[in-house]
Amino acid sequence: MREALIARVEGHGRIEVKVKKGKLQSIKLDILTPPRLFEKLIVGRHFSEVPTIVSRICSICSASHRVVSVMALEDALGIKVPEEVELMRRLLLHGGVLESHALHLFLLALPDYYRKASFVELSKDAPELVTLGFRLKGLGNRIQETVGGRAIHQITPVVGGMSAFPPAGELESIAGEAEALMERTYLTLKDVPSLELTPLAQVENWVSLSGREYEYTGGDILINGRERLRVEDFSRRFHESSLPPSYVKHTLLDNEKTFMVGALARVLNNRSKLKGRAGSFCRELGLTRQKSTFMNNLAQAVELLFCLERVSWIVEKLLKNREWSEEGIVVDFTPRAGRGVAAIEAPRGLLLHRYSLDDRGYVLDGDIVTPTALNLSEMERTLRDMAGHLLREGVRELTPSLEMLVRAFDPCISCSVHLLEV
Amino acid sequence: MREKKKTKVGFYSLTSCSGDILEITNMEEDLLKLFEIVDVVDLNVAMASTGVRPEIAFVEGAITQPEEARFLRKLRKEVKYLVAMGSCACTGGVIARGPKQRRGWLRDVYPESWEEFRSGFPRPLRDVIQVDLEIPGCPIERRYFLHCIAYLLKGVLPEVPNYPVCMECKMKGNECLLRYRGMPCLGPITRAGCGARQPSRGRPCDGCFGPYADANLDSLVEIFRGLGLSEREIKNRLDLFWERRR
Repeated sequence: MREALIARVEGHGRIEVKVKKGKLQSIKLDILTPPRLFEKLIVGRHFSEVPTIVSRICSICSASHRVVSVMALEDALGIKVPEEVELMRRLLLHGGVLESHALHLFLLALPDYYRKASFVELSKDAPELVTLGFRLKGLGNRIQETVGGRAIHQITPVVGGMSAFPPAGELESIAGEAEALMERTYLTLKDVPSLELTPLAQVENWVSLSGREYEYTGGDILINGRERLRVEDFSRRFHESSLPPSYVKHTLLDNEKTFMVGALARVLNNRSKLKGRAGSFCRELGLTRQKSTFMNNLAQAVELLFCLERVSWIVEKLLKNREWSEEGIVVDFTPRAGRGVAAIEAPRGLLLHRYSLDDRGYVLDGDIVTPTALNLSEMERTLRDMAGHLLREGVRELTPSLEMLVRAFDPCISCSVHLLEV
Repeated sequence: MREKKKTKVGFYSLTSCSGDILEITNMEEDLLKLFEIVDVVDLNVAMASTGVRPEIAFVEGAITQPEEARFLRKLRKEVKYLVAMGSCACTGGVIARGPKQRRGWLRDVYPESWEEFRSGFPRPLRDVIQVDLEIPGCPIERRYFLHCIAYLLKGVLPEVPNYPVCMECKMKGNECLLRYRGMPCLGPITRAGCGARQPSRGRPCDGCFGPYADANLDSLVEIFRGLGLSEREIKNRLDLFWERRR
């Protein structure tokens, strides 16, 4: 048995590959991040405390967790928020996507493309690449700090609105920085060398939200670009079940199909709505023609451009025709019993929160479906396909390719590969 | 001329959201400078482990697994300084809740496999080993981290601010949320260091830095009662981030 820690991913996880006489026996992906039981921690807490607790599920997706929990609770309480609140939350989410994609693409994934061990090594050969990564990540964090109050575990999104708005000058400066980075981001990303793609890591099913515009909030769930499903009907088609040979809980579509969520799923479902630089870059890359899992990295590149364009658009819309005030907006409401659900696109894919409240606003139960959990079966399926293929080709060293495949999914787990020769 | 030997520094993650190490990567380009100043031997989010023993270890997260406790005991023997970083490592954090219900929760969430789990109630690092320095916050503040590492590289333990968030809030000229808006703010008893992030944005302090040394908890509880908060509300307010008895 050999063990190798896969670095440059988040959290703790492990892939176990069993090989007998050169043939793949089984492959299993374990999430080793110890249980923290968030769905239970919130039971009996007042709804106003829930966003603060659940944002701690994940540091890099904390803005997504905070905003979607607020939206699900507003659904339960029958609250509608004004447009500027919605726009401000969207701006925050774009900051989150910029930071997450820039971190993943430039600092964790791109070293693979240039055959470097880490971004530190990469910065010696291609300093401009690493610098741009940090600039984009820094802009994402600046947006999250300015709008959300902190780069991690944001403060301002609250049930009923936003507790504070940023100074107008800060927003203008953010929009300026986004515009200034656009050209450089495009020119850099278009010249990234391509990975040797294996045709076996093919996306067969993909799932994301889909609304009128390319966005991270709103719309229905769209499956494979064809079938629509309302967010509240999610559990009619998606079920948790055990899928041999793994023992981890998996979410399957119609009890049998694995599927991908994340940047590539969003692009595949909504590419016709991508306008401007992001739209033309997407067509230029042709990433929707061959549906390879590895294209997720390029889909992230497209979304980085999309976010830069969108950030300046949202800021312009927010500042237009308005007497700007840094006072927050929180609408009046009375707690009541109810159930609520909301889904958004976190950087890594579909994220769904459900809560039910008693008549004084205390949580009776909660359900949180995260993108990494949704992607788990698909990760295993593609790992199995790829390991089988490589073994048939006589490749002995499976680890680097499997590592790269896991990294393409951008999971919230760090993996160590256990290769068992039995 | 011989190059001066760089201090070996490792970053480690136990049960957590990884937010404190992420906050360190939020130094952005300055992170490259950190790699120049010290010899980073472990930082899993960015690179594979070098397998080299650190001289200074920064550890985020709470202890929930027996192997985490074993890892810490070993690490303690190897390093000169062991630093607990963030609420989970300093107090058990937001996840250290419901010590008696925990087994039942595990059974509810993982009905097929809960018995195999050796997952225990989240404990702070100091429950298992001697800790040289605690950097509080959920997450930590990256500027304070830099302050701390600069001291440690010189072989000196830095001081932790021992005054309440109220001091920072007043210096910012904020309107007092407790006094003028009747919000249950934990600022009067919470250690300063975040620049009063929440009260500056219309939200009462949740106390993620924990208490400062002379915090008068009883007096604040009286004020909360005066605001009309129920005992349940007061308890929930205090046990969000504050250390609990198990």
